[in-house]
Amino acid sequence: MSRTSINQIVIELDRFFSNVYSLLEGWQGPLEAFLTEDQGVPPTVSEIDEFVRPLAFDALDSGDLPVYGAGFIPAKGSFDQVGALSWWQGTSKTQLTFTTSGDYKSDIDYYKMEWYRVPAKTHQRHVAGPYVDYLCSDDVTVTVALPLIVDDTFLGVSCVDVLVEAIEDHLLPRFTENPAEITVVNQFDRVLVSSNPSRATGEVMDSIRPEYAIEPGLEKFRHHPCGVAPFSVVTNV
Amino acid sequence: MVNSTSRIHRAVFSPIGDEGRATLVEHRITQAIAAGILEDGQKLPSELQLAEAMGVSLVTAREALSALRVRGLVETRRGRHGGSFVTFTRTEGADRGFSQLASMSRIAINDLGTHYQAVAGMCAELAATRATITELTELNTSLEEAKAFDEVQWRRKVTDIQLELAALSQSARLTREHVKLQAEFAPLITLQDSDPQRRELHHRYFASQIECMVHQDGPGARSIVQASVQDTVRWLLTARSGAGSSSAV
Repeated sequence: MSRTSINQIVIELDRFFSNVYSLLEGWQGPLEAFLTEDQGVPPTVSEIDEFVRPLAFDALDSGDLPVYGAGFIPAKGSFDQVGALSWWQGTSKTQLTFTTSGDYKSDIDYYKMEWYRVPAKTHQRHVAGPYVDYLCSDDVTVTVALPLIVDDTFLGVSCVDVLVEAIEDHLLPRFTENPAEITVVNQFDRVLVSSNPSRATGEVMDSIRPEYAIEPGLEKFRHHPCGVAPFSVVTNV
Repeated sequence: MVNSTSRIHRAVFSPIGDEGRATLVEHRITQAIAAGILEDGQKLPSELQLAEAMGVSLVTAREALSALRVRGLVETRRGRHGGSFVTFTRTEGADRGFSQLASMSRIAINDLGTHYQAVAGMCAELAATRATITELTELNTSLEEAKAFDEVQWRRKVTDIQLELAALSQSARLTREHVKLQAEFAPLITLQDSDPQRRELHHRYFASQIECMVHQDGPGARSIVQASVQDTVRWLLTARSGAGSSSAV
């Protein structure tokens, strides 16, 4: 398989995730100003909704990026209520809302989810997935997360959801250009997309976890890591 | 009771904005019912009044009312004293669970169990080979923490863990199916929760399931899920026939 083809895929992925990060970076200044403007009086949930909505709508309307969902999730403890996230998704740009009773989504502890947990702790940007996002999209998703840090304090995380189906569409032309096997995996060797029909999204490459030793006789693979997002393009050696 | 003109009531039916969709209407009314702002027996505005007040189309208002009827929160009566009325009594979850149990035939309960086993079992089998050790460790930690919770918190946590386990199958379809089935099954499953021994039993089932997944044993994980569902179904059928906690007939 040609080096150029592999590089092209790496470049595509890097460009894609760079663009998503740029989008979210554009929110940081305004968000910081908005959240900290009234020193003693933090904004209410409705006020944050009002502020984030146009940002989210712009992201959802962006023609070049297949953004499925977008929004801001304030840090845990900011508000004394359930489901205080400002999130819009889908072609109709619907807001994610929780009812107080009988809605399983309102019982989900989303602070434990990777897209919140990791940036809150590391104060670094993060990409989570592919995973089944049963809180927001109800589909196999990649979530790009950018934490808002002010004076070393984590104020919340700005996120964008991209459906894996959309990434598949994006990369498919590259795959069909080459007869050889290409698989894109995340940092846990979990398959994002593959040209091999036997490798489904979500499977861990070769069903062997990185924690276990590689058995002798198994095919060896080469990882070509991406620069921006924690994905690698994997090919046979 | 006729519509109150109080500010709080008016706020419930105030314009809903551009996103005006049936679910938002439904959610706002549900929240008001749950918070006691709209009381059991209270008459709702007519479909037309709702649509006008909330700034949505008549079709949307109808959809929302229909959804509320399906959920048993609203009842529509025709005739002279007709209209849509809130039906919501703040009974214990158990009352609702037992009445659901009584209203289901044995065959229906068994079949729900079979359906649930098929979906949850398959999720477990897939998750066994697809989950990472990190993900499984997180779940084990959550499960251990739950041991100390009271029955309501425990059930909430365990439901969350089950949902996460289903999602680890990496199948969006199976996860969505699991959500639907769990919603149907939940009021029945919860009936066991007041008995600490039943909670402990299910706790052990979960721990064993996760253990199988750590060892990438798909069939093992599936068998445990199936065994645990069958156990619950036996318990439910026994409870239904009023035979107490003795062994199943």
